Amino acid sequence: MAPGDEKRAEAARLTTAHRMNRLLAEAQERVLALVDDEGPTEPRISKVRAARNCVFVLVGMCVVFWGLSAFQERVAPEAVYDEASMQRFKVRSVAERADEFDLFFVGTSRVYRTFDPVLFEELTGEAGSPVHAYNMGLRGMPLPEMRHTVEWLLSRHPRRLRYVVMELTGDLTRTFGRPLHLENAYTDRVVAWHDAEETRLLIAANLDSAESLGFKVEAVATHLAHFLRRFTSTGIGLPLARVLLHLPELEPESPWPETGQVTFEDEVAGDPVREAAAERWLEIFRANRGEYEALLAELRTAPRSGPLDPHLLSGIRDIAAKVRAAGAVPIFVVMPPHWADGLEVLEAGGTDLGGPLLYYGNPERFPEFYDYDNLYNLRHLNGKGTELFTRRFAADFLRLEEGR
Amino acid sequence: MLFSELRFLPFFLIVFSVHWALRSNRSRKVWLLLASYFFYGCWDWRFLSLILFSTAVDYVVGVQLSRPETRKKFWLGVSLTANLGLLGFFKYFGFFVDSAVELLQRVGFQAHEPTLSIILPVGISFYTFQTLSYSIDVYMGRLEAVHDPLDLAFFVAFFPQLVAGPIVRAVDFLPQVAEKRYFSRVDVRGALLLFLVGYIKKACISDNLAPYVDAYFATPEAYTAFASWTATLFYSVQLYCDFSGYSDMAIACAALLGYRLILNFHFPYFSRSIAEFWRRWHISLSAWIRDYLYIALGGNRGGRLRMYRNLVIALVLCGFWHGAAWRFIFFGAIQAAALIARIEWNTRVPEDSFAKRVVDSIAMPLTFVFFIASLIVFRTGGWDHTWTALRSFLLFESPGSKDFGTTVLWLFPIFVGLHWLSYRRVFAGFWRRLPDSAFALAIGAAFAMVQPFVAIHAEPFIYFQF
Repeated sequence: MAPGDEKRAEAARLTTAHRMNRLLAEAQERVLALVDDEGPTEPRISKVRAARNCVFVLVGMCVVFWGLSAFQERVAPEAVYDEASMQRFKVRSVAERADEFDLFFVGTSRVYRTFDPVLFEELTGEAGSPVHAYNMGLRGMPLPEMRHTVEWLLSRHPRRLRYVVMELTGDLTRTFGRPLHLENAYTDRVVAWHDAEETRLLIAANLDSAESLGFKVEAVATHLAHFLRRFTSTGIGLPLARVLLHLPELEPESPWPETGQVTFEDEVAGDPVREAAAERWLEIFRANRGEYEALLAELRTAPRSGPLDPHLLSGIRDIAAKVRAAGAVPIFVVMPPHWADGLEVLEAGGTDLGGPLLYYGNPERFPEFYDYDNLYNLRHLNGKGTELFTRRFAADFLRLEEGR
Repeated sequence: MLFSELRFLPFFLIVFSVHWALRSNRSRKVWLLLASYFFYGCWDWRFLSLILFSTAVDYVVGVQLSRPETRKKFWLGVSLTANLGLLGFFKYFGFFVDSAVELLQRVGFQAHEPTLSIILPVGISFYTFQTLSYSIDVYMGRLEAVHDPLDLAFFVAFFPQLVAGPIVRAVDFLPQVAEKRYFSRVDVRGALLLFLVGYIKKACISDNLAPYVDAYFATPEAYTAFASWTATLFYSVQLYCDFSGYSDMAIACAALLGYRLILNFHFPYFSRSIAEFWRRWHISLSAWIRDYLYIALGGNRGGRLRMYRNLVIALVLCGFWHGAAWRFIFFGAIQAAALIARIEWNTRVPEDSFAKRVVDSIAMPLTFVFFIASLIVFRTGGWDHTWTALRSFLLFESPGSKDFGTTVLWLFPIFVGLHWLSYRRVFAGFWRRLPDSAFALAIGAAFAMVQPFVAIHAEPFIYFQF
C-alpha cells in the first residue's frame, strides 16, 4: 500500500468513528436541550393561550377517538377481540350465522360446558317443534357481560330468533367470592363489554354494596379504566387490521365448536399433555369426595338469601325488556351445580324478573345435578351430567312453550 | 405504576400541576420527593426503607468525605459495603446459595437448599449505582458533598428515573437540584414528542410482541427454525422498544418537570461493531461501568493482556448486573469475547485486505446478528432451552413444527423502516414547524391514533426485573 493510501484509509476510518461520535453527541445535546438552563425565566406564552392549547389537545384526542370508534362500528363491529379466543370465534360465528338460530343460550362456563344444542334440537324435534340453538356461553361471564352480549345479539336482528335464555349469576361485585372487577382482567374481552350502561350499573352496584371502602375504590377505578380503554378504542387496531387486510386468523388452542358447546372431555381430547393435566385435576377432585359431601350438607342447611340487589334486579328486568322488544321470549336460568350466591330467594317465586325462570339450584329437587358421579369438578357437570341437564332443560322448555 | 398505564396519567398531571404551582425550589423538591416515594410505594412500600437507608448512608458518607481530616478510604468502604451489600443480599443471595448447594451436591456432599426466598426490590440495581456514583465522585473530588439531605434524597428517588434508569450521575443531576427550575425553559413540544415516541415503542410495539416471544422461549423445542428466527428478531425489537421506550418516557417526564436526564439509547442496531453497540445501548450503564469499573481497574493501561482482563471483568459484571443467573454471566462473557476478537481482528488484519473490506461492508448486519444470537442466551431459561434455541437459530435444526406464520413478518420491514426514518430525523421538522394551536391539536390526535394499537394488557417493563 502506498503511504498516501494508508493515510486515506486511516482518515476514512477516523471519519466513520468521528461521525458516529458526533451523531451521538448531537443526540445527547438534543436530549439535554429539552431543558435549557440558559433560557428565559419569564413565561413564553400567556396562561390563556396555554389553556387554549390544552383544550386543543383534548379536542384533537376526542375527534380521533370518536372517528375511530365510528369507523370501527361501521366497517367491522365485531373487530374488538384479537386473542385466538372462544369469544372471538363465537362473535364471528354468530355474526355470520345469526339468522340460523331460534334460540341463544347465554351464560358462564356452566352453559358453555353443559348445554348441548344438538341434543336439545333432537329432543325438541321429537316433541314436534325442533329448536335450532346456539350455545353462547363463555368462561366467567358476569351478568353485565351477559347483558352486553344479548344486546349485541339483538342488534344483529336474527330473523328466526324466538328465545334468549340467560343464565343468572348472583352478584355485581363478586363472582364465586372473587372480586368481579378482577375477572378476565386486562383481556380485550373485558374491555369490549364495558360500555357506558354496564359501567354505570357496576359502579352503582359497587357504591351501594357492603364491601369495604378500599374494595369499592379499586372496583370503581378498574371499571372506569376499562370503560376508558373502550372509549379510546384501545386494542382494536390489530383486530381491525386483521379484518380490513384479510389477514389469517390466529390459531386456536382447541378446535372451535360449531354449536358453541365444548365439554371438558372434548377440549382435551387428542392432546396428551392436556389430557394428563385434566386427569390430574380429576384425581384431585375425586380424592376430595369427603370435602364435597360436607359442602353439599352445608348448602342444604344454608339459610335462604335475602332480597336481590336492586341494581341486579333492574339489570335483569332491563335486558328482559329489550329481548321482548325484539320480539323474542326471555328465559332465565339458575344453572347447576349452584352454590349459594344470593339467588336462592328466586326459587320461591314472586320476584318479577321480566321473564320465566328455570331454577336448578336446589340439591333436594335436582339431586342428579349434585351427584358426585355426574360432576367434572365443583362447578361443572361432566359428560353424563351434561346430557341429564340438557334433557331436563328441554323438558322444562317444552312445558314453558306449551304454557304460552 | 407504569408510564404506559392509564393511572400514570392522573398521577403525573397532579404532580406536574402542583410542582409548577409551587413557588419555592425547596417546596417543589419536597413535593417531588413525596410524589416519588408514593410512586415507588405503589410497587411495594416496604422497600422504601431500603431507599431511605441507602440515602442516609450516602449522606453521612458524603458529609464525612467532605471533611479535611477524615479517613476517606474507610468512608468510601462504608458506602460500597452498604450499597453493594444491599444489592448483593436482595439480588444475588439466592443465586450464590443455590450455586453453592449445587456445587456441593455435585461433589458428593449432602446440602439442602435453604427455604429463604427474597423478593427483588424493583429498581435496586439502578438506584444503587446512582448512590455509588455520588460517593465515588465525592471521594474522587469531582463533586462537592451535599449538605442538605433533601437534595440527596431527591436525587436518589426522583421518580422518572428511579426504577429503571437512565442511571443518572450525581455530578450531572445535583447541580440541577440546587437551582430553581423555570417552566419557560422547558421544551414542551420536544418532551411531549419524546414521550409519544416512547409510548409507541413500549405500549404499541413491545407489549404486542411479548406474547410471540414468551410463547417461543417457553418451549423453543416445539417451534421450527423459521419461528426461532422470527421470535429472536421480535425479541430484539421488544427488548429495544421496551427499554428505550421507558427511557424516552422517563427523560420526557423529567423534562416536563424541569430536569434533564441523559440519553440512554442511540439507535444501537445501526452499530457497525460490538464496541460501538455498547456505546449506543444502555449508554448510562455502559458509561458507568467504563468510568467506575473498567478505568478503575486500569482500563487500557498496562498492556494488552491486562486490558483484556479488565474488559472481561467489566463486561461479565455488566452481564451479572442484569440478573442473578449464569446466563447473564455468559452473556457478558460473550460480549467481552466479541470485543476482544474485534480488537485482535483490527490489529492483525491489514486495513486494505480483502477480508477486512468484506467484513466492513457487512459490519452492521453482522453486529446485529451476533447481538441477537447472544440474546438467546440472555433470554432463555435453562440450558436445554438455550441449546435448543441456539441450534435452531444458528444451525436451522429444530424438532418442532409450530410456527408463527409468515404474515407476522411484514411487521419487521415496518420496524426497520420507521427506525431508519427516525434515525434520519425525518419527522422532527414537521412537528417543529407547526403553529402552537395546530401542534396541540396534532399531538392530541397522535396520542389518540396510537391508542388502538396499545396492547390491553400492559406488560411490566423488562428491565424492572433487573
